[in-house]
Amino acid sequence: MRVVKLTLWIAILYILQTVFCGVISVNGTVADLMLVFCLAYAFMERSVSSAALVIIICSVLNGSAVGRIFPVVTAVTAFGGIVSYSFYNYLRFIPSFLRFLIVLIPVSFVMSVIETIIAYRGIENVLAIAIPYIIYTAAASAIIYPLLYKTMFKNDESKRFIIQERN
Amino acid sequence: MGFISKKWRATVIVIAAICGGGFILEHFIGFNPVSEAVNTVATPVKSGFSYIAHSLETARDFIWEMRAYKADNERLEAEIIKLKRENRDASEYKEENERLIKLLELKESVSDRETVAAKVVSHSQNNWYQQIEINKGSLSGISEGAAVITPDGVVGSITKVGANYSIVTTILDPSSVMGIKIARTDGTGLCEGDEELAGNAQCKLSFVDRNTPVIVGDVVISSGSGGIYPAGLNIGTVISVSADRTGALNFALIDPAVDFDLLREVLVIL
Repeated sequence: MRVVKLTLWIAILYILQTVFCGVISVNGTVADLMLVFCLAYAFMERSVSSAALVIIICSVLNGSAVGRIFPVVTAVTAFGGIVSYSFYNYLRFIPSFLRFLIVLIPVSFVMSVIETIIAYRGIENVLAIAIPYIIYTAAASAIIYPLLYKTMFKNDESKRFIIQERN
Repeated sequence: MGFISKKWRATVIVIAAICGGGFILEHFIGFNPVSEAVNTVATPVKSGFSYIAHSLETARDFIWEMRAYKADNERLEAEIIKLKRENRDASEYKEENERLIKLLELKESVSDRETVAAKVVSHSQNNWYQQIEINKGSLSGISEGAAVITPDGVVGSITKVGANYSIVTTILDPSSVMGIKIARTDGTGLCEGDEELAGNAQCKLSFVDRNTPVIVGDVVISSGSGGIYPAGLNIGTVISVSADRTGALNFALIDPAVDFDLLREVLVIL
């Protein structure tokens, strides 16, 4: 069941980002849904194998979606996923979504800067492109993060709590 | 650092291989097998959704355009209102200009007497325009008894003077009496205001010379007697005649030439 849910999540977001980009774009900016999902999943998932697999799949899909700069986008997405996984244990006093944003925003900034430099061969418009991209991606994460938690991780948390109670 | 475990190292190696391999292959042979494989699998699925995406995009564009049309419509409506207002103002200015030209011509026609042009500020509320207030007073040289006229005809005379306003008692007022002449026959008489007739904006013609018959349609002008009104000013037209058994005139009704409803500017003869 978990695999089905995961597949559905990845498929829906991939289709949304690649096919429905015209529909979900705001003033020409499209949120990086695969990046959000990759980082959010890695952040919440405590199984290394599962997190690593999702990071690899999402990175490759994200890289394939952009085509020409495949290696860069794949690397940044994967790097972001790994950082996100490790960051879960830091700054625990901050609510988890805010901690997630602390990882997501710099990673999406790096992504937008590198994409802009490679795609436009210049840094003149970096901020004009990066800022809407980061805001839109962060806004998308406000929807994806709680939904992902509810659909895939809420039951795990409950089980973990029950096990701890029994022990 | 938990993520530098064996599994993470393997993950990093896999990703590095995918990225590095992809870069090298793309650079040297222009072909990235991983990306190609993903796109080959995904493209049929994506094309299935593209119809829905296009429909949604069209719908979204339509909604955006509708909003733009709505904004355009509101802007055009505002412009129409503005133009209508300007048009109305222009019409008012045109009418005012025509009235002032006529007033100027009238002023020139009575050049032997000093005159002051004034605007009508208000009409008396309860007695059918038997009195009107104008915006000039003693500071402009106006004094009680001065005649008030318009290009159409006689309005009345000044009965009260303030520093910057005056009250004009019209020829409809029962207290108003003036000497007249029938333009057709030169017969003389008096034009008097009447309480009952004032309601219909009419006044009474009486004491007409018995030797000069009055008929409906006769034009009544000022005789100049009394010294208030200059001779020859239009007063109105006879609209009905009442005679006794012998044919002698009792009185006639005059429809004043001035429309007291539309009075805007007047000329005061000092």
